[in-house]
Amino acid sequence: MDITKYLSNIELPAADEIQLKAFLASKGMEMNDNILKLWDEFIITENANAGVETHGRASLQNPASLPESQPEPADIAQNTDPITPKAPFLSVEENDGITEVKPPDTEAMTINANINPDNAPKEDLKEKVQNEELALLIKNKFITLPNGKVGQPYNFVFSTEKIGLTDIEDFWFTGLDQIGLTFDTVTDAITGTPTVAGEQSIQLFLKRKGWTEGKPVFERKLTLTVNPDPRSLWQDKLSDKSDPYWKPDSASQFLKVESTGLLLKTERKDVVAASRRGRSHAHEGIFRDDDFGMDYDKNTNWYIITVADGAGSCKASRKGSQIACQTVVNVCKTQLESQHKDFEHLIKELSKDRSDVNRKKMGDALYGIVGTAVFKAYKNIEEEATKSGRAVKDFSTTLIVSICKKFKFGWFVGAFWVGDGGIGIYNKDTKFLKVLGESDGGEFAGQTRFLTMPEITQPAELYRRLRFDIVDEFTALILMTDGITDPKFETDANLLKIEKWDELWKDLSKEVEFKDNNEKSAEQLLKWLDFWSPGNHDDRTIAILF
Amino acid sequence: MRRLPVYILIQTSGAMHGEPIESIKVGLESMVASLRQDPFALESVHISLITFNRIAEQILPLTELESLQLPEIILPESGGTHLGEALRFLCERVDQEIQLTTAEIKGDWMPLLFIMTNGKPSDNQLYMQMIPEVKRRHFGSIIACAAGSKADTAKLKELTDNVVSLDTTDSATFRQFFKWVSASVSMGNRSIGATAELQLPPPPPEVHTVI
Repeated sequence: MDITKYLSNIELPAADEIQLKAFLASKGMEMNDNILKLWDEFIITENANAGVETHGRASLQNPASLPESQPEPADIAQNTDPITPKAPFLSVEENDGITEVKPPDTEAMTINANINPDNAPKEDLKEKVQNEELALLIKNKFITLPNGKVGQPYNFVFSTEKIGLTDIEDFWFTGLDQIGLTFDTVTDAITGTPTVAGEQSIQLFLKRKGWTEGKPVFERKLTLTVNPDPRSLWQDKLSDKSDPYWKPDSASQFLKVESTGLLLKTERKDVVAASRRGRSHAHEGIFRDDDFGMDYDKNTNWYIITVADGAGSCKASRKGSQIACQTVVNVCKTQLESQHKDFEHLIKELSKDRSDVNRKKMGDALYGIVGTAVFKAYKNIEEEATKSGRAVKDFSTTLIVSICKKFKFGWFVGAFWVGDGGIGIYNKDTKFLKVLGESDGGEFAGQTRFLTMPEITQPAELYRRLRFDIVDEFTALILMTDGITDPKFETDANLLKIEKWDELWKDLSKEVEFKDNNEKSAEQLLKWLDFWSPGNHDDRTIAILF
Repeated sequence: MRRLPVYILIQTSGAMHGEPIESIKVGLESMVASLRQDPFALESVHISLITFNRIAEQILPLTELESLQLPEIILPESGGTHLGEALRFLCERVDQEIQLTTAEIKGDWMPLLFIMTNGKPSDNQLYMQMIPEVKRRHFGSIIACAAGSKADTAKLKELTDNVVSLDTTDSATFRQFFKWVSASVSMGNRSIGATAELQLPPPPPEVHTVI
């Protein structure tokens, strides 16, 4: 009989509740009328049973919602025919905290139509129904609070109107202080800096318009998501040393090239390189896939510098990058030992006359040295793959190689580049920049080309990737993997912008002292590699001739 | 910052009423919670939810994990399994939302696609037409989940090799599945060859890979 009681006390499955909500919305008025009608009848019965204190009608656990102007028992007694004493005949059933009272014999009662003194109970009932509806609405309302982040200021102004609750006079939250937030009742803003990450349980309390002491306060549980600071989540797990392809999680090297001349010393460029395992690798305890290599030949005065980035998705790529770096350094060194006289002669010719003929000769000669080294690197990887019973693809790696030497007329720099990353000659004073090749990117992030792809070592393709130039004195020749270029340059277009190189150099110079014979630069560079850049946590390798 | 877009297609036909959809909700919640514990995911994963019955609807536009709030999933009374229409809608969204690399703009990671369905498309013709279209979008990986004991995996196999079937649709099973999904998502941030497909972690025992 008591529909309102039914509505508020029964736990409904979520789906049913949504339907019920929709039903209530459409049939609200009609139902109200029906309920009011039923209630009128019920009131009469109830009044007839006046004197019974508890009644199941108050479902909001709130005595104030009972009709205040309930007729006094005495009044009823005057208006009704004498009936037998009620109490002994009443059966009271306790059920889930709801006290239900059944009149002993309603049939026996004579109802006097005049007992309903005014329509005050009707008003109360209306409010009660509204409360029930609001309770249901609040319960089912999709209410969310914007996510917070540990250590970052939070500021959200909560508005009941915005979420479609128009009948609210006052509201407040509890549970915020545990996570470092407060609710300002004047501005309705939740502010503060969250201190705890996770799904936090918050309570929202609401009072309806016209609330007075004793009327219901509605409560709704909410979840406030606080994101952790990503920095706090990174773990640093050591890689497995027993793995046959294990290599140190970080490495650095300084190659000191002594000054020449006994009296008038001429500074000569040194090489520094560092390689650091990315946070994403450290987090999982997997290996550093990057590698580098360098050499300076005291007899020929040739520098050889290389960096390589093993593909994160390939199981043995750390070995691939290592083989590639070692091979190119060794092969270039040997080739230059035997060919440097002819090669240098071509360079001198080119410096005098940069004709197409001379350029072609130069390209062919560079192909003979660097091209051979790159091809040999591929071959060595293939051999390792066969030996270990793996696919060549498992050793996928990018590769950037440079050979250079200083002449009276300037620096000769030759290069080969496959994959992402970057190589460039940079002069901070003259703002000269020469990028030695093009980055291989795909449509999507992380896609690139590898040395191990069959097409790369085809003669024409290999030749196409060679670059050389004779340039004036420079600040630095820099080779780097995508662990550096992604955060520092972001796009291919930016790699060609001098401003970006200026920024990189400025940033580097803050932590690394680029002065002659600074052995500490290796350590400084390795430390610099730990810079923070959201979303960029790949292995990082950089080699600098300065 | 590079985004890792994750598209999740969820069948919301009448057949999903009750336990199946409630389990999916629980699964999604625990997936999001666990991804929030992955620092890389927290900085790269963007999730989009698309529900489909007779029509497809994007109930959550591609949203970064940090600000993501799971929306309400409302089931219609009835409605078919228009998976073809869902895929058509998906391709439309992907074309609009996925940023490819250009010289000036940093591209997204290859998107991932997860489909939860009973595997019985009621618009079979459109479904078959959409398969090559979806493949052309170069998803890093497509994982189809055939949920329920009456689910059909044959049709899904035409779309992707990664079809898993869940015999039961209780929340524990879905939680396992979504846990695996999160693991797969975490694998998405890897440098790969220009043509290679993503390698997935092995599925948990509750999830059967359909061969």
